[in-house]
Amino acid sequence: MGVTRKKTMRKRSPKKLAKQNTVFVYVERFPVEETLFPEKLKKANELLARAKMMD
Amino acid sequence: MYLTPYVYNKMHTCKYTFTSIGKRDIVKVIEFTPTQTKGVYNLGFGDLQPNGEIDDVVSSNNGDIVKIFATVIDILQDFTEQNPSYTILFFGSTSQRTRLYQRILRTYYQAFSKIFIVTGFVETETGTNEVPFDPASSTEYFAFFVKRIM
Repeated sequence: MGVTRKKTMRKRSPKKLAKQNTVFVYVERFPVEETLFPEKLKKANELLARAKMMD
Repeated sequence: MYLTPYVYNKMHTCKYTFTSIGKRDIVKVIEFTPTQTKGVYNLGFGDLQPNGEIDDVVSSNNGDIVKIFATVIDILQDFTEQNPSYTILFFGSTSQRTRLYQRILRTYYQAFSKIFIVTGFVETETGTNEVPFDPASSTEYFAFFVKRIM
């Protein structure tokens, strides 16, 4: 009988996997459609952008 | 605070309503919405129309502006008590209304400043800047920030 080699799975670190597979998707923090005051929110974001207070 | 505020309903963690009683009954809606800047919430304020829509431009002239403002402060206190790290941004839907907010802030600043740090946006040579609100100044602010003193 020949010697059978046991197939081993290489352990992969979840941290490394996450790095390889993470796709960054830009999502608005709060869509304007979900507020009762969409125009106000739009203007607020414009004001904050003007004052360079955006994240 | 100042004048007895209206009793408000908390519809959601970020949404409140109350009824202004004057020449007619008007349901007012206040909503705090997160902006693109972390920790800064926009205060939306308007009248609930019979068709279910919100009008934040209308001047209702119901004769109770001070009482309405007292209620907004009450709501602001409740919201910031729950979320003390948030900064609330507010401004009028028209420049005339923003000036009215400034006048009211100036009148009640002494009491208001015991609870909140107030700053405002001004237009300077270097652009739009956030500066401390000065009730004695004639500076025209075009938006205000309030943050609870912790």
